[in-house]
Amino acid sequence: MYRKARMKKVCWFDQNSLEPDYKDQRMMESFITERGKIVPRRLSGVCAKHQKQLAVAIKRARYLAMVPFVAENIK
Amino acid sequence: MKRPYESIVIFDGGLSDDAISGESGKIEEFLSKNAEFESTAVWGKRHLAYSIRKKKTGVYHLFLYKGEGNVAGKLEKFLKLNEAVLRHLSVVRVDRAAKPALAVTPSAGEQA
Repeated sequence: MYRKARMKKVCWFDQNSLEPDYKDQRMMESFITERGKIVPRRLSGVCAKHQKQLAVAIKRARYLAMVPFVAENIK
Repeated sequence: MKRPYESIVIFDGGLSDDAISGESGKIEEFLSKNAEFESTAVWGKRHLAYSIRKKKTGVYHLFLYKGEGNVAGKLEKFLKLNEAVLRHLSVVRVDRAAKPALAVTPSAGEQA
């Protein structure tokens, strides 16, 4: 048994020195799955601080109908 | 203490441009009376991710203002009574550029 060497993921927000913003529809869309779920940070590599802010931002964007609660095709 | 706020208002996309600008003007008027109104940004007509009150499009307006703690509540009451408004959200604005820099020049003792 051996472990595959994996690249260390770097937080996208730290890399680009940005903060999660619910008004940025593109940014919000890039952190939700096809079904409309929030992407877990084990997959996206976002740091804990930004993931917390991101979750709030996505929930605000959902309320404002900028991103879906549930994707239309699986409703 | 006055705090900076931002409110996003989604108007019914089926309304005419004149009706929407009229409603937006009413909100601006309300804000200049009750708070320190700053500016409005119009994002234009957008497709909604899901239908709200059977409407599929909405016109997004972003209002920036400064006010005391009860302003957002007052605005909420005002918007709830408005039929043209599909949805609204008010939050305390975070001015990231205005944040004081964390890095302070190290004192002589630290540099050594």
